[in-house]
Amino acid sequence: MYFFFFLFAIVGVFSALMVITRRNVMHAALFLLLTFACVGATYVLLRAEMLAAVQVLVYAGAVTVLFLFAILLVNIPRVVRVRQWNRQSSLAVAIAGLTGLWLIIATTQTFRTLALPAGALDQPLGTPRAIGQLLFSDFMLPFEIASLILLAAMVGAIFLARETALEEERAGTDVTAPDQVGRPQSGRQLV
Amino acid sequence: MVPLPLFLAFGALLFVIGVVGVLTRRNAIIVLMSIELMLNAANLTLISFSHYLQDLRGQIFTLFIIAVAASEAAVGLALVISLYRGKATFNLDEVNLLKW
Repeated sequence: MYFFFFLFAIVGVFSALMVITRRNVMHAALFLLLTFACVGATYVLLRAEMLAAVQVLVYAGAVTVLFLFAILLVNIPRVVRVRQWNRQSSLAVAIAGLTGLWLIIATTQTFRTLALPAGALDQPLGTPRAIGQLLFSDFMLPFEIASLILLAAMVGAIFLARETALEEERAGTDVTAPDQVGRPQSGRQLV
Repeated sequence: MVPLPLFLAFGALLFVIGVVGVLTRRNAIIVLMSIELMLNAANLTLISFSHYLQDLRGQIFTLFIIAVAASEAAVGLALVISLYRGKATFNLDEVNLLKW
């Protein structure tokens, strides 16, 4: 158990560091995928089976693909010789490092004696049945609101990323003229 | 069984790495990825507490955080795409029209 935990933790932290330090955005997206997979594997260690599956499906499956599509759509040049880090990077790393150290020390000292209750490892806690029972009884309202959030996000994303009339004008083509479409002029060209 | 502070330390490290990414990188897409890292760290903390306290509500909360994070990633990327269309740059240092 310790071996698997340290495997997923070290690979996860390493790939998270790679995400924020890569110059190539595509590499960063792939390391993000690896981080999501490591976190999902840690969920399995924590007996949260359904959440592990949801993590892989939603994060590793959908969010990563979303990032990759966005990167490919905007066509970033491969090697970009601009500065990657902004001016506040050393101060940010120092403050974040101190915050992380404080977090780790505080949680370690506070929860050192919290142990698993007896018999907790015998039955899994996060089965789909258990989550479903809770989700559709006590948490029905947040469930419905989450579906509204997804609808609002979908509408918002489509609206924000639509091609505007300004761009059609800049593109210079008149989309209503039939001659510019590559249709064959006579039947002979089909052969 | 792995003690709880180790899981919390893993989550804290992921969170801090995400914070550094948000604060220091100039590329907008990498900033969005760092935000996803922070949300994953929060999810990991919630699920480890849910396991150690044998309370399922932590996992329910995580499910909702995953839903919100996915929709926020979609909207953020749509914003980045429209930003690129307007200014042809991803560089957050150059997006400063509202700066005094």
